[in-house]
Amino acid sequence: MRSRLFRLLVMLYPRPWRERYSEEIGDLSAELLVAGEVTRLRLVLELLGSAFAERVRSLHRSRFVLVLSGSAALVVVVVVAFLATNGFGLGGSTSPRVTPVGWYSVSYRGAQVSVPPSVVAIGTGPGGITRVIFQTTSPPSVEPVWDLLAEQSCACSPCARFPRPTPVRSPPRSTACRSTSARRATTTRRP
Amino acid sequence: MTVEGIRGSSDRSVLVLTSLAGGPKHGYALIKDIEGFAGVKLGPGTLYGCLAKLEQAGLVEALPAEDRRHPYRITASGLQAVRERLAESARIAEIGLGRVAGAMS
Repeated sequence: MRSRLFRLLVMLYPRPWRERYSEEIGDLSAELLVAGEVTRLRLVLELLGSAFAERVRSLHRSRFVLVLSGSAALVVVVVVAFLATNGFGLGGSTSPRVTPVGWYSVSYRGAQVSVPPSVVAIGTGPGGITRVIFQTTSPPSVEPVWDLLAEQSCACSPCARFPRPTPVRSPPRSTACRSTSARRATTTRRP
Repeated sequence: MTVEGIRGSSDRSVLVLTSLAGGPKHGYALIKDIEGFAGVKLGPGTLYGCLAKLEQAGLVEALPAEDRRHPYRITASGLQAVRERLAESARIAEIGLGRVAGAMS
């Protein structure tokens, strides 16, 4: 069977299947027609149905591979995103992303850090934050704290080792040594 | 379709394997043999659909063409697969026939 109709029918099959079996199926169809085992109409209908079945099977295989590769790519993207964002922490910053009511938002090393109202100064040194100054007395005695923060040119040993703390709130001007004032009126904590 | 996959395959694949278990055959001989022992007349598209799946699974293999005829033969894996499938069918048939006989008595 080498008619134009047969060539059209064979074109309906997937290409790999067609390249492998079209010659054999053509020879068999011709043999069946010559032997009178099948009518031409029945043969055409049978080849149409078979071509449709092969197309469906081929589509099913292609979709399976597509879904498999897509799932693998999605897993890779999620893993890379997880590692790059420090476990979806988005950049590794540990500062609160929302400043609670009554807290201050201060800038530290390019990031916004939330601190409670009791923190009046943050000192930084070579290793990062070296001191956090709290307002602890009740009623608050903030004057020594402001004196501490306002010091500009103290040459004592603690002040020489560490930079001047960054005030959270604007302090009034004073000339007292910040180290001696801090011991008297504030609590200094080193993380 | 793998060797295990024949369990869920259609009966046509089992018919083709059963026919080839009797010796290598080309397409026309396969159709006539299956029609003879099973009463099922396969068309060329259906037959080559089965052969393609079975060949891909390594259950049958093509032999060199002989005068425009393309014979196939069953492989060792194909023999084992069809034996398991037919044994399972025989077991189910035995249970089913026993129950039918019990229901009719």
